[in-house]
Amino acid sequence: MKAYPEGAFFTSPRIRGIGISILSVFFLLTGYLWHMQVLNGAEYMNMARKNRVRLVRKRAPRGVIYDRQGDLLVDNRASFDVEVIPEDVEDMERVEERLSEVLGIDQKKVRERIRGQRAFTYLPVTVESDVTLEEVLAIEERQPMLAGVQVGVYPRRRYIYSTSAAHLLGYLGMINPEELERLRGRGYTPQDLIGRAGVEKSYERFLAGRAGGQGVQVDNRGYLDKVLYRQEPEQGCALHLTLDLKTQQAAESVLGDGGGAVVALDPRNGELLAMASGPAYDPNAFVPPVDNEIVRDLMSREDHPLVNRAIQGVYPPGSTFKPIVALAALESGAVQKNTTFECTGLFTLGRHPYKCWLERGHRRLNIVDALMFSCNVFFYNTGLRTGRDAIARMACEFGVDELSGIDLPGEKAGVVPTEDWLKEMRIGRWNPGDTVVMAIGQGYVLLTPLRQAMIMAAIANGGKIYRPRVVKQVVSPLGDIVERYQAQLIREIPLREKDLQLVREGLWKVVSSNFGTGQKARLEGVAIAGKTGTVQVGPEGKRRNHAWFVGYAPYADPRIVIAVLLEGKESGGFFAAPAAKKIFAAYFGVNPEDKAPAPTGSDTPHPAQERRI
Amino acid sequence: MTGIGLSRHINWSIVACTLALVILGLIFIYSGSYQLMPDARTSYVLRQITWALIGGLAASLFVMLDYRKLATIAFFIYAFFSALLIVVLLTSDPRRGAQSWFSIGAFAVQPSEFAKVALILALARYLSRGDAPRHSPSYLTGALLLALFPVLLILKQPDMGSAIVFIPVLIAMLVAAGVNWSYLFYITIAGILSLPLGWLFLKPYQQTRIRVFLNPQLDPLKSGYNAIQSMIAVGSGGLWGQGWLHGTQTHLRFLPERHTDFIFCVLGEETGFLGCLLVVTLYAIIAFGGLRIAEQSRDEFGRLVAVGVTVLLASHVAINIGMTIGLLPITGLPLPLMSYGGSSLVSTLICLGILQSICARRYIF
Repeated sequence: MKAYPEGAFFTSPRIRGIGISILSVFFLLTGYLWHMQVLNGAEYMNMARKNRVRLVRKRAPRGVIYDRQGDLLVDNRASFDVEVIPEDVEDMERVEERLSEVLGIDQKKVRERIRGQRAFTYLPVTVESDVTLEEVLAIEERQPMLAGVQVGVYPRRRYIYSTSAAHLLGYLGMINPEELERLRGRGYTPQDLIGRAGVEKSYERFLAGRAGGQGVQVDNRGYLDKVLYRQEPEQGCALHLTLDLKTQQAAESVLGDGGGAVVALDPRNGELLAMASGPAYDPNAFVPPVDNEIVRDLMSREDHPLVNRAIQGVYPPGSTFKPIVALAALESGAVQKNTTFECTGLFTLGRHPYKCWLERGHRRLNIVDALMFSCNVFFYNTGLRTGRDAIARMACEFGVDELSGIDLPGEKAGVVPTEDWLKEMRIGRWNPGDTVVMAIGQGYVLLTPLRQAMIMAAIANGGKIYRPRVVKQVVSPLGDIVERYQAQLIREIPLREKDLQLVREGLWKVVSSNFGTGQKARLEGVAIAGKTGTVQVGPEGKRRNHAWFVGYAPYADPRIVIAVLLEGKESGGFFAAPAAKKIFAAYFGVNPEDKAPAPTGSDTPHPAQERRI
Repeated sequence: MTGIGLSRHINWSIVACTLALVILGLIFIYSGSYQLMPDARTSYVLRQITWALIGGLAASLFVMLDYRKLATIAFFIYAFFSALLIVVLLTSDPRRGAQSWFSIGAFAVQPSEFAKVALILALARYLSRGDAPRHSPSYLTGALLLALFPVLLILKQPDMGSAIVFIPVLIAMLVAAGVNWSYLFYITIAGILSLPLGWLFLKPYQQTRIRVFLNPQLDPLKSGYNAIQSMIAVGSGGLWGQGWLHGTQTHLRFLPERHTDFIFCVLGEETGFLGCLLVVTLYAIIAFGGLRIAEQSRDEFGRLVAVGVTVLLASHVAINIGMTIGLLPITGLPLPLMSYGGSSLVSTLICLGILQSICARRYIF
């Protein structure tokens, strides 16, 4: 490159000009700094000291939750929290000492809590939540010595009926960093609670409300000088559930302390009337101040109280699967109304014997009586004739392998075994014996109690599968309806009315006949149809029984379907059927103790009944 | 020329001031991230030290490299960083709403910082062509177009601050190249006339910032908040300051970029006017050293590059300080050598390396 002789381009004056420009800008800056810092420094210092602007956030109360009759299930109560604003504390050690005195907490613990949460020195850190009024007064009295300590009043969640509907309502938990990131812009802060399960989770966006706050000026001791602006928090919307508290409580009472699940729904629209899961827990345990021991215990217990078995538990359906097999058989033409099979108590396929639950056999019977007696041999024959694919197809029509789309989080789908599924699970190839076992609802078929109720609802209402719903409407604090959910038909299974009628007749006889397996569900004044089931689960040696009853009522005009599953109970007929009866009674407002009527209808005289299934 | 020979000719006062500013930067980055968790605090400082070492190494390489080699590849460098600006627009995750970063492990690289240097090199190369028709308008138009392309890409990110610094840099380089004063006058007029048009291209939040700058009381709790708080912080420093780690204002309030764009607030609050004066003086020494190097440069490319990088640095300083003390709208531009941020530190050190390379070769013909 060519070098230029000095001065050839008249460089210096121009560069001097640039230098003078830079110099003047720097002089301007320095002069202004002198003006700000030295001449007006005291004024700015004053502003900094006295007129601190602080944004104080005010949490919004969560929306309340009602049952379908308008009974309050969940609301908020006021709680007093002792907080420290680290920035305002002059002598942290002294404050820690005094707080430990007043609150009766170890000083080390006070320190840990302050250190542990401290993220921004100007944000309050909670030292103790839900303190008593006496403690609040003690702090107020000592306020001059406790600069930087304040008592906040916060709305706190209250689950009025404690364990009742716990799984359906859900609980709250501290928001985690991932959720914070995901919900950025929705106004959450790291101190916020968020729905963790149940409707608390699935309707979070309605329940959360909008936090308010105020911009305040505080003086150098942290006392409030002046409120600059204020925005009131907006309470979250109220949820009106489809749940019926009476029915719900009856459902819970039949579960007792044991494991199991109850689902009750309206077959006309999919609205959930009750959903119980046992063992239950008290969602209040998750409301701060949280007792970590209780929560840890809930999380780690072997009987999994936090799992909502009604939608997350998959079980073999056992004999409650027989109506589906029957429908598959009738639809495919493998069996007709007057087709009969002889039950000797034993059925052999190749050299392998399959037993009926009644050892000496049911003799010859048709499909209606086979349902009533829950005869295995009839269904072994029927299953083989119908074939696996037709049965699986029917199960899929009823949605066994699908999610129901209920407005609750964490739902699990059931299983309808296919060739691919067997391969995936490394079970091996399908053989005819598997079809035989499938025909009585054992083997690989699995479903949730909710799906059981939906299947029975579809049988009762002529094949309609509605999306189950827990929330009927969402109402704003001002009383405006924000959302109103209509019945949503997912699918209508193309079934012939006469086939359905045969199955329904069988189900009706299960309860109403003196020989039916579900007699113990019989209720004064209400015609109930249903099906019992008993399944064996678990590996050899640890095998145990679960008892099922799934039914609907009134028979002529079904308004409620109930699925009951009792874990560890010997027999569906003996345990689940009477449990269902209690729930039906609660729903219809009937006394379950009233003597049930003598059997009516077309009862086939038959050898004496024995126990089981 | 060997490394030892070079060291005789480089400008040691610039080196000393640079070192002092980087160290002051580390001290106040620590203080500015004080209210964060202790781990985060030290990690900011450690990361900045890493960047300072990388930048120092890069600067040394540029001192040893004959800057005239840069002239031959200036347009390649320009093309490369323009391409990077396009790529960053297309690929980056939107971070804080702006698409201006490449993530490399734990570090984020901002190509616009390097594009500034690339543009200076390209402009110097273009303006110093021996056969350049210096008094024709096309000479000027070419320079403007050269500058416009990367500036538009940077504006698209959007990084208004980085785009604005080009204006003084471009003007200074045109002045140094000997462009007719009358042309410069017309450009200025055209620039002023196009301001209302530019307003339409600004994002709404940028418009708000400018409106609030003109009248901070417009929205004292939201957009004007940073401006007011940063002024209170600097102002409350007084003559002597509150002492290191003792500035309450910067630690307390909502200055989300304390350790980056608002590092001067921390300095102002904790060291007062005397600290600020020291820092401004250090920058002034570097700037005058730079201009001196420009004047002594034996070729026009060197002269223009020296003017470009010096004015770039001075503009960064002036705009950043101006915004923290309420003289200019808040645009988000780092304080060179002091703000936390690798791209800014490394690119500034590279600039200073090139400057020294020009300085060291001022006696070579």
